[in-house]
Amino acid sequence: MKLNRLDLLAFGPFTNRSLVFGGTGHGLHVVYGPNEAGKSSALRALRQLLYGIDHKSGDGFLHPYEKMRVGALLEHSDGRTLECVRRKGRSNTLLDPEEDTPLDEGVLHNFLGGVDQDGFQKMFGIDHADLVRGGREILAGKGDIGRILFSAGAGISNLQSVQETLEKQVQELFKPSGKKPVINTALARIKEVQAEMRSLQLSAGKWAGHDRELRKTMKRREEVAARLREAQRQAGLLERILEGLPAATVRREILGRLDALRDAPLLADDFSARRQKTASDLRVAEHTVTRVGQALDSVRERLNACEVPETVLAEEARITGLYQTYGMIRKADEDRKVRVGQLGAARRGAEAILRDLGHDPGTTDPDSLHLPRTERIRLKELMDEDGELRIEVRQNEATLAELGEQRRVLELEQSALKPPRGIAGLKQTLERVMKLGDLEERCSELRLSITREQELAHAAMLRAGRWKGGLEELEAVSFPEPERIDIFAERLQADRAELDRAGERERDLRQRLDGVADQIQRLAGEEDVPVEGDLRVIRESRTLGWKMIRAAWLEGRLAGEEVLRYADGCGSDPGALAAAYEQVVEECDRIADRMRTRADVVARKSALLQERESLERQHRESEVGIREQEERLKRTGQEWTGLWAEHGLVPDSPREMSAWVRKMEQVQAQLTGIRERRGELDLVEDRAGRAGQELRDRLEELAEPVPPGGPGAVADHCRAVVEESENLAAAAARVDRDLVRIAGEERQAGAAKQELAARRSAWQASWAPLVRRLGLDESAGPSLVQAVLEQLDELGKRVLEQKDFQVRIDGIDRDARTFEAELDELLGRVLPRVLGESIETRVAELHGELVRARAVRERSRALEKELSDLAGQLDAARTETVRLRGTWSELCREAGCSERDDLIRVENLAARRRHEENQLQVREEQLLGLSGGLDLQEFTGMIFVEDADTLEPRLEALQSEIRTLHEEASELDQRIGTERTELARMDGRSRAAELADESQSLLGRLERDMEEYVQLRFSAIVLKRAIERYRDRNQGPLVQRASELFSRMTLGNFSGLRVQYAEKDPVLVGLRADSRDTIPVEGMSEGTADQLYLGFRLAGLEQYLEHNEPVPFVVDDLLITFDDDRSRASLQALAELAARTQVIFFTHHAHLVDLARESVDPDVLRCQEI
Amino acid sequence: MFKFIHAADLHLDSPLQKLERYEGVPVDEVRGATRHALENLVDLALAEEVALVILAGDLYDGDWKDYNTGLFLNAQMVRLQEGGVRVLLIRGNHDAANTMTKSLRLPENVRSFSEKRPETEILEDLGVAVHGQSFASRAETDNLAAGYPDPVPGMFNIGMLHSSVTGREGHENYAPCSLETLTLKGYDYWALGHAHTREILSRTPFVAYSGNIQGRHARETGPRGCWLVTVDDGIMQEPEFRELDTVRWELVSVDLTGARTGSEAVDRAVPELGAAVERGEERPVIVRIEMGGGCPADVELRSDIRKWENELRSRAQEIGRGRIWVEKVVLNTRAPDHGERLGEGPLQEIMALLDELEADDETFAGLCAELEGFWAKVPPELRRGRDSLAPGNPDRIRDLLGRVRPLLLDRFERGEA
Repeated sequence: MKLNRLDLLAFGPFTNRSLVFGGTGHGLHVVYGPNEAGKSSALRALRQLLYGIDHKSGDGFLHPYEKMRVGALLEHSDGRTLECVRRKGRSNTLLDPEEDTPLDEGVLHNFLGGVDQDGFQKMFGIDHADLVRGGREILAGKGDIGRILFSAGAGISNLQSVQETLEKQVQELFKPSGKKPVINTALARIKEVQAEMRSLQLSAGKWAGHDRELRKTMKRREEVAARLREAQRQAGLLERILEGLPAATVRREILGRLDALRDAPLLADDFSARRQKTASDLRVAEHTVTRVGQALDSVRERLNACEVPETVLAEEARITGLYQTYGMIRKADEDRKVRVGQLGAARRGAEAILRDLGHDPGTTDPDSLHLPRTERIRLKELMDEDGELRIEVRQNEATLAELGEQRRVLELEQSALKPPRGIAGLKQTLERVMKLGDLEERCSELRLSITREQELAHAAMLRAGRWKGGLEELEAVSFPEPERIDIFAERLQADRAELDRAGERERDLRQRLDGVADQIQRLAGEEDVPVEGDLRVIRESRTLGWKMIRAAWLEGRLAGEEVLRYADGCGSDPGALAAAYEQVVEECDRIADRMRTRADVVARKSALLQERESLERQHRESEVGIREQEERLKRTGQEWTGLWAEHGLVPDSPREMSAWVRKMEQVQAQLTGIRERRGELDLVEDRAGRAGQELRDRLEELAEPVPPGGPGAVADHCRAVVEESENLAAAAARVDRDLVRIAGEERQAGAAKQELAARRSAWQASWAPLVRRLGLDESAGPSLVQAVLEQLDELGKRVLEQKDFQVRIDGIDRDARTFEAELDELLGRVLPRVLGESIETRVAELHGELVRARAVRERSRALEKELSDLAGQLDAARTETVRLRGTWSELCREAGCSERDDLIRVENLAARRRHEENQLQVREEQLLGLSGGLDLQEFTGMIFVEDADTLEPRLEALQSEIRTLHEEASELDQRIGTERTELARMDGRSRAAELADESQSLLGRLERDMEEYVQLRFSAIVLKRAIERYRDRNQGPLVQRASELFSRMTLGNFSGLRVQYAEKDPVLVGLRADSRDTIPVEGMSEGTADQLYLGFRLAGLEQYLEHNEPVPFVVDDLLITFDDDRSRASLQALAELAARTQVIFFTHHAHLVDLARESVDPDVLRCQEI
Repeated sequence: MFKFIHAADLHLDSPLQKLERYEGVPVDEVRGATRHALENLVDLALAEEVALVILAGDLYDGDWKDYNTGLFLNAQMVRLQEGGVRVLLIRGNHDAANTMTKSLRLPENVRSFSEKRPETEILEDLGVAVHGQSFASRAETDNLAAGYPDPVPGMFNIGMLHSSVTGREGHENYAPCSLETLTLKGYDYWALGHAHTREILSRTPFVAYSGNIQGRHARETGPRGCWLVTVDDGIMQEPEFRELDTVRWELVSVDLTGARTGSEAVDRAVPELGAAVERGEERPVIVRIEMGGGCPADVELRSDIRKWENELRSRAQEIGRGRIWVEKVVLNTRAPDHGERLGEGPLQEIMALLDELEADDETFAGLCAELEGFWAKVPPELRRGRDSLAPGNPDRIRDLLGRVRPLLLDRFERGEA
């Protein structure tokens, strides 16, 4: 096959671009494409043309996937040609370009001689990277001839690494005697898991064993418990008896002692204590009476010795008051000294100020200098006003300057503005056009919708089928109305139903007839069933016979002929007649009898015969009815077909036709819609045209340039013109407005200036008289006036202070005089001896006298209080003595005695009786505690019955048994626990089952690994065998041809190649041209190895092409690292290959094109550029 | 009115076969599936307040020896006892082979039928007579059904039978009998066990397999469970099938006709996987993917089936929300054949060799012999049955041979490894 033309219809950057590879013979086609020209895309296009466009193609950037197309004209070696186009898709992607119908891939496959995509890329494609890889493989393979032949023959450049990888993967998966590889590890792990699983599996026997042991142990445990209870009971009784024995004995003795004390009285528990307390209290009370009487006498004596000074105590309050006032008098005297100093200082301060203001302090009254309050306020106001006036004047001057500046700026701006234009007309037109909306958009929407609707209608029409005409014809057609179709449907249905009914009826009648015939048949078959007719005939025969017998008997007349006939030829004598008659009578009776006995059958048979007759008649009628009905149906059918004839249609059933007509009517409705839209489109287009024209006219009126484009663009431009013009007008108006405003403000500022000057002169008029009042010149400013005022204030303050100090000093002197007068008056009455002493002595003496009088009064009061207390105590002690003597008599009465000593003896007897009784109670309580529910008498009885000496040994024996039983019980409990734990561990757990799952999981994984191992091993073996076989078959001729090519491509550096048989496998070596030396492959340079590989590739191809359909050899920039000479030699080798198949050489190196032109026969070489 | 449950083939603790674990699969949810299924059965019986549970054989796997399994069964039977539910069971071929069957003491609510002769259990309160006979040995070849007694008049008669009714393929032909034998017996209901696939053989009388209660391998797909039967005054209502399985096996068949690449194949499988997950409702779903059809992708898929399997597992993970487990991917695809073969060349040498191996048994045996040390290591579990991985099963091994060509072409294609 060769490629005559490659059509890059829509692929990568190409659109409808063709590369032509024509000419006679195959040719070496050099396709030159500089970078970015699409060389690689063209290469891909060629491959994908032949084998399908990639599912995720990167060449759909310009043309969407569904539009991608690449085509070609191919020519088979037998002269056939194939023109085809490949589209992108999943199936049926190879198309006939004429018909646009799918082509059989098999045809293309045949053109390719069965080469699949892989083979095409590997064997019939080579690029620089392949070459380099191939060369390296040869170097690495150290001349392994098998591999070289195989990889060059198939165009595989990684054969060695494929083999090595396979071997490595195999080793990683499994080694027969290894431990680490995946499969070996997995096998070991599975064994482990299964072993663990088995160890966890619980056997049935083990469970039952534990179960049995548990039951046995529990039974024994119950027995032990019972015996233990009994032994403990016995031991307990013995223990109690042993413990109760001493108490029982003591009790017996106490009872004896109590018997002797039975006469002693039972005194109350506290009797003895009461008796002792009463005796002691009585002694204490009698002693108290004596002691208190003596103390009373002593106090009375001391009271009489006391004398209280009443005169002094009568003036107690006044003396205390004077003593306190004296403290204050002393303090005021101190204060007075300070005030005198302050008074002098104030006077000196006032004199200094007066001098400062220029007055003589000796002559000037400071009060004459005082300024009234109203005038001071007025002065202050004028000073404030002066400040305000100054500020306002400054502000007024600034305002005037600012306004002047603003006016100058605005005047400049005004002179720079452009004059406005008249745009009212344009604006009006534009607004009208805008109201119409976006007409262009509407047009394109309408066009799109018309096209879509039309496609839809067309598709709907095609889907509905049946209609042979086009859409335009369809629109005009009117099909039969649905009502008519319905009528036909009903008629046809009614006719058919009627026919069915008639048929049904006919079948029914036939069945009934068959039934009746069948019944008649059955009756006949059963036995002879006579009917009325049979009886009538035989009776007539009987009457005839009787007539003849009667004639012969009564008339003696025998009608010979008739008799003979009657007797059925048996004779004409009376005997024959009688016999015949007799037979007839018998038959007559038999029939009559039979009719009587089988009356029901007879009746049924008659009825059946009648029914058959009737049914046969009905059946004939129904057959006629069917034929008529068939005829009617046929006529209706013809009418139905006729209804459609005018449209050239052959109708199906009315239901289908009705559905079809509905679909058609929908299509017609769509068509009507389309027509309406077309009308609308015309209208809108017209409107748009006119709007555009109007706008253009307006622009011309304004001498504006008219922009190119549709009404939309024109409208946009108009909007810009209007906007600009409006902005200009607005600016001018703003400037005018501002100028007017500034003129007004300047006027206001001038007026304010004049008003300020007036206010200043008024102020001066008020200011001058006031300043003169202060003794200042009228030109004095506010600051000077302020200083003078402050001095005058200070002078006023000093004068006031002098007055205050004088008042205070006078007050202190008055108080001292008053105090001394009062003191002397009192002393005259109370203590005249100190009058005339210093005031300190007078005051101190008077106070000392009062203190002494107070002390005497206190002592006297204390003694009176003591006297009253002692008298109370004496009364109480006497009362207590009387009470205690009464109590004592009461105690004697209780003990039943009169004497004091006897009372103590009786008291002792009673105490002994009580003691014994208490002891008895203790023992009895002890015994009751041990009795175990028996009463005291029974229990002591049991104790005294027992032999005390045998008790202890018996108890010991029992206790020993109890200990043994306890030990056994504990052991049994432990065993029960163990067994229960064992059984609890066998709880139906699922661990073993989980391990079984795990084992299965590992097996699943293992199976997969093992499959992979087999696959990899098989692959390695098959590949190795294939390499060996290929080498055996092809070594001779291939090495020879490669040797020639290699020699030429190395420009004679090597004379050729040879296979050397070393120890193991045969090895390829190079032969030096200048010597007979052999060079091992691994000794060659990389470039030489590349050429060696290329030599084998070409040799392999040539060999293949000897026997197979040629396929173009596609070379992609192969020679970029070759020098010019070697490139020439290689191009020549490719040209030689071109004798056998087409060679397509893609390059983006222009110099390779030149080299090809130099070195290759022009008949073979064809160059073109992308 | 009363209800009863008919189930069979519990195969308690039978493992999920050759189910490879891998990252992200719901191992915990899948663990103990047969046990959970039985728990579901008991839950159902208690919730529906059934009077009777009928188990038609094969409670355990024949070669399973863990008494714990029996103890678990007992625990479940005790739950039924506490709910007042009676249990009637016959032993199937697996039970007969299992030593546990004889030693396990069943609770009092459970009655196991004799293996010596057919027996009838009359449940007066329900008006029911149940007939049944257990297997005496693993391979019961007698037609047990033939010896079953006549129906008890006036009662609802149920026959329990572990049997291979004529025409059930894929199961050993134990206790064989014909459907006619059963339908003519005059019973109202035949509760069958042995076949693991649910099937109604007849409606009047109702003769049916309930199938097993939990699928355990890739051939036991779809819902598994029991029949729930309501009998009202001696009249049976249409039995309802109730699902009990906690893990669902699904077979996902993907048609790859025309698929060009492995990725496309994966894309085509994804919606099917989604559908399988939906079918499993909330259960974990174990999926076997079978890909078929003529397609160019065949070469790419076969060249490295492990890679594509991983790819599918990963995609399944995305859509399965942790509930999907891709057990295996089986390739039944084939490369499109244009009928012609390339002439002579190295690659053609490989094809020719493979053709020879395919056609000539002796050459093939020679190839297998090169792996001699390997075959001996294949564990017995992988040497059993029709999937046996051994030279004695040439179909299986030749299938692996079929992957050689794609593998080599792919390796050559990939350039330097």
